[in-house]
Parts: sequence; C-alpha cells; structure tokens
Amino acid sequence: MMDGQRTPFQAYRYLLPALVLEAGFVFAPLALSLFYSVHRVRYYQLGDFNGVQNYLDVLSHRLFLNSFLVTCSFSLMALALTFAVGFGLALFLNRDTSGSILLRTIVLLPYVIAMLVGSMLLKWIFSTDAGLVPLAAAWFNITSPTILADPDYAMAAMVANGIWRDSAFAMVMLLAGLRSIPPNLILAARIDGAGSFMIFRRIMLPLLRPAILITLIRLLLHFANVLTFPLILTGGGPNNATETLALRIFRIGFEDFDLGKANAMAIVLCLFNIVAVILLLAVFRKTRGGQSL
Amino acid sequence: MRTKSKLRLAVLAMAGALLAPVAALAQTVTMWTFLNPASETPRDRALKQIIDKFETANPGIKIKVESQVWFTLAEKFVMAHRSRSAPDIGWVNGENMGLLVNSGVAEDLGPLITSKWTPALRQDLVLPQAYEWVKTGGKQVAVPIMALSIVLFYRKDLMREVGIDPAGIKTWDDLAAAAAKMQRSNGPNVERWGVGMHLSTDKTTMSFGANALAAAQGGKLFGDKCSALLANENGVRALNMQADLIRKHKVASQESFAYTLDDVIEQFIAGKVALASSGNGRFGNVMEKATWNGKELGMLPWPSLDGKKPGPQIMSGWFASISKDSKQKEAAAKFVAYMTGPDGMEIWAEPGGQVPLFKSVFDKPVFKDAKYDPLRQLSQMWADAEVWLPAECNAARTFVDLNTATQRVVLGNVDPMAALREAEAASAGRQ
Repeated sequence: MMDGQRTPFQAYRYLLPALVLEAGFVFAPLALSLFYSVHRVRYYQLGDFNGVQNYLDVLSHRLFLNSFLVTCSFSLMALALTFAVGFGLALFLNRDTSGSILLRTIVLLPYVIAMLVGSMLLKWIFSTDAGLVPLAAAWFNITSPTILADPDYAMAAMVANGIWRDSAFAMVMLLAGLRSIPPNLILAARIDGAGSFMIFRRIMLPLLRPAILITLIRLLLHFANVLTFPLILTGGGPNNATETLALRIFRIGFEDFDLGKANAMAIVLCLFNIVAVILLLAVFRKTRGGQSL
Repeated sequence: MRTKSKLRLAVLAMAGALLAPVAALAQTVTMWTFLNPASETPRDRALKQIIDKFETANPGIKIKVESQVWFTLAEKFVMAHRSRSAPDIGWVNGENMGLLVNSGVAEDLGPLITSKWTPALRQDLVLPQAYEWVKTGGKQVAVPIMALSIVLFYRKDLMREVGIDPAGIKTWDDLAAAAAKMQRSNGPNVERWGVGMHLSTDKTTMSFGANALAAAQGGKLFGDKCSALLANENGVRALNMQADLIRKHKVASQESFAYTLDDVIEQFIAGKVALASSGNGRFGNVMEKATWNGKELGMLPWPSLDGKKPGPQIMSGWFASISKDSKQKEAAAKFVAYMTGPDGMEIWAEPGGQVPLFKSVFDKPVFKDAKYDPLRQLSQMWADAEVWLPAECNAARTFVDLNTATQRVVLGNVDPMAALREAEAASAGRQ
C-alpha cells in the first residue's frame, strides 16, 4: 500500500479493536441473554427450549406493569431533577475561582463514593427510628414521616438518591460543554448589547445541545437500569412502590433462581432503553426543526 | 558437553528433591463461609480454633477460608459450580436449602461421612431430624454445622421494670400488651418500640405472622409440591395479628416494612426496641455488643394464636456441603466430619455460643455452668416445638410473599384474603 492511498479494509482495521471489545462485552452477553430467555433455566441449570413462554410469563405477571410504571416515573423524575440541579451547578461553577474549585470538588464527592455505600448512607439518614432526618426534624419540633415505609416518600427518597449522586455527573458533562463555547462569541454578543438571559438562550443553549443530549441519554439509561438505589435504599418497597424493572430482574434471577424469565425481562428492559433513547432523540430533532445534531 | 549434561541433571535432581515435599504438603481445601476466622465474634473465633486444631492434627491438609456475604452464599456456591470454580466446601443456610437440593451440585456425604458413624454416635444426636432433612433421593447433600431457629429476644431488665413475667406470655395478645408496657415515648417521638419486626421484601427470614400461621396449621406452611398454605382463615388471622402490631396496638414502627433482620437486631442492640426476633446464633454477639447490660438478654418461646401450646421453632441452620467438582473430596470430607463432629461441636458451643448437636458434648461438666443456660433453654425449646419445613421448597421467598401481603394490607388497604391469595400464587410460581 502506498502512502496516501486508502483501501476499503483500512477503516475496518482501525475499527477492529473497538469492534472486538463490543463483541466481547456487548453482543456476546446480549446473544447469551437472548438464548437464555427462550430456554427454561431453573436453579442456574439450562433446560429445554421454551419459545416465548418466559416472555409471556413475565409480561402477564401482575407486578410487571407496576415495575414498568415505577421505572418510568422514577426515571423521568430523577432525570428532570438531576439534570436541572446539574445544569444549575454547571452554570454557577463555570469560573475558576478558588471557591468554585472547592465547591466542584465537594459536589463531586457523592459521585466518587461507591453507589452501594452512598445508598446505605442515605438509608441511615432517612431512617425514622435511627436516622439523621428525624433527629433534625425533632430539633424543630416536627414529627418526621416514615420515609422508607411510605410508598410516596420512599419514591421521593430514591429520586433524592439519584439527584444526590448523579447531579455531579451532569455538572461535569455540562461544564465541559460550557467550556467549549468560544469566549469571543459571548463577548461579541455583549458588545452587541445582549443581556445574560439572551446570551444563555441564543448562544449557550444552542451550542450546548450535544452536551445536553449526551447527558440526558446517559442519565436516562442510568436511571432506567440502576439496581443499587432500589435494592439498597428501599428494597423495592413498601408495597412494591419502588420495585423497578432492574430490581425485579435481579429478584427473579437471583432469589427465585429463574434465569430464563430474568433474561426475558432483561431483553424487555433493553428494548425499553432503545425506545426511550429513540424518543429522546426524536424530541431533540423536533426542537431543532428536523435537523440532525 | 558431558559435564554440562551432568550439571543439568544434578540441578534438576536437587530441584526435584526440594520441591517434592512441598508438593506432598500442598493439599489445600477451600471453604466458603460467612464467617471470618480473622475476626473476633464468638463464631469467628470458634471457626479459627476448629481450623487450627484440625490442621495441627492433619498437617497434610490446609483449610483456606474465603468469606462471603451470608445471604448470597448458597447462590454463589451453586453458580460457581456451574462455572467450574466452586470451592471444595460451601456453607448453605437452611432457607436456601431448596436451591442446593434442586440444583444437584452437592456430593453425597453419606459414603464420605455419615455412613462411617457408629451406632453410638447416631444415638448421640440432639437433632436427628436435621440430618434427615437434608437427605434427598437417599443422598446426604449436606450435614448441619449449627442448628438455628428464629427466636424472640427480650430484655429481662425491661420485663422486671414493668412487672411482667415472661413465662406468662402465651398468646400474641399477651405479647402486644407486654410490648406496649415496655414502649417508651417522648412526646410524639417513640424512643423505644415495644417490638422490632423485619417486614421488608428484601431477603428475609420467618416473620411473626409466618410463625403464627405455622402454629395454627400444625407446623405446616407448605402442602404437596411445595404449594404454600397461606390463603385460608388461619392465614388471615396470622396476617391481621402481624398487621395489628403496627396499626392497632402501635407497638411496632411502620418502618418495620423497610427493616431486614439485621436492621432489627441493630435496633435491639442499641436499645431502640424491647423485643426482637433473631436467629439464636446471634445470642452471644448481641450479649457482647448490647448497649445495655448484655446479661439481661433472654429468649422467649413463641406465643401462639390460641395460647394452648408455644408456637413452632421453625428450624434452619448452617449446613456444610461438598461440591461434586471437588478434586479433593476425601480431604474436604475429613474436615467437614471434624467440624460437624463432637470435637468441632464442643468448640462451636464454647467459644462459639451455639447449641452442640451431640448430647455427649452438652453433658460435659464444663457446660453445666449457668452461662450455658440459654443454650440449654434453646435446646429444650427445640425439643418442645421443633419443625422443619420441606428442604426442597423455596421458603425464604415465601416469607417475603407473606411480608408483601402484610404491606399490601396495611399500606394498600387490600383485603387480607386477597393479599394472601396473591402471596400464595407468587410462592407457587417460584417453586
């Protein structure tokens, strides 16, 4: 091959390492999951081909709809609030003063703590009988509700877990987007008489679109699939009020020992993720008048 | 050239001579347990002593302990077997015995251990049923290390303070009344609840309601083919009794719906609840860690709905199993036989604080001391009301189903019978 010449295979050579990784860590497990989902796999032992029976069983179970709705409501609430808090923090800390650097570090702390440890910490904080929240409430002569044993409060606690931990991620992503905006654009707008809100709406927001989209997709996928929050913080309760699809998969697979059904549900969750991302992309395209990003 | 060859041979011979004894020594048996011999709880210390004594007596065998989280031990053991990475010995808790029995990963310990017992040793067993319980198709899939049951812990000092004789608590109403007297509040805030219950839908063990139901059904929670017997009049009474401790008597926190067994015990140790259910295996640990005088710790027989006789002691425990894939079954079996035999049982009793499973151990003079009274009391409670649920049934999740039913009744205002029907169906789906 001579310098400057390209062969059709050259691109694939560069892509090969990434494709191998994808094949090993994404496609192979997905194929295996699909395989298990159409077989009877009880007590971790592969049984007979089962067709779509596992799918029918999990979809017709009375708790499936509950888990689906819990996943949707948790994902949407956590996504909106985490993004809003993360965006606010990014705008507030978009400068390099010593105070901002210190604050950024503090905000990042929950994100660098292991998810499991963070959720255990919050469980202790929210506990009515032994936690910090009731203690703080008592100082103000307020009787604290039983946060983790009330269906509504338990969902709120789970959303709070998401905001507490992941707004730092949103902040980092959006801060990187903000830093990529050329300062002379903003300067020129100011010279032309634009106010802060106008600069935000007409310059920053359009230029932040890629960062916003990536942040939203990443957060949405994270919240739709997260297991640690419901497993550790609320245990899916009370009265299944916080039992997400991910937790249900875990329980069917590792507590009922039925990997066939668990994998069928995992495939359903995978499809749910794909649909959610497509919807998000569609909303973004629509707001941009049909143009791609 | 010839000199070089001789030199090579000499080096090889020396290396072989040096390495041969090492190879002969190196028989390492790996064991998965929830205990950690490097730790300091009574059971951890007991396991360390057992291993030390065994290794001293058997210099050719080393026991390598790999500590695991207790509630996933059985699953990990079975999964490891499927991926050909199982340890030689795995501990399995009684609630997950169904997994071990149904998965078929365990070696038959009959030829390796129990068939070698003398008739005298068989006569010496405190709980012969514990061995029969883990036999399936004539195969001994495990042997008991320590027997456990969920018992009611109480504080003698609090009972004295409010003038209640623990022996007088026969029914669940008696228990609710005693709990109400021991409860302490400061304004609207409860400082000490009368009863601690674990009603979460996370990994759980037998609840008050499950015990009451089993008592009302002659110790039965499962029928044929592991079908749970929940949706009936007894089930409704048991479920209402459990729910009433929260909604009517108000002696248990609504947060019970978020508590696991571990949470309840932590609360009990901290003096935040007056009565709590727990595995008896934690008796020594609670005594040591209690923020109040640990010597005031006592165990109550279970109440029952009618009070005619005590509720059942639904038996469970920790069992040792050997993987079918083990390359050193004989060595593993030798250790299991020691750990679960009379010598091992003596150490499990002291310092481990467990009821020895051989009568001859309990009869030794050292165990006549008053500090072993709780073990004797427990042994008597087992003799009076021992019940073994079918090992092949997934009992752990059925307990969760009952907890879910209680949550649905209290928080969702669902009819108790309807909630129990759902629980029964859920249980049937996973057997």
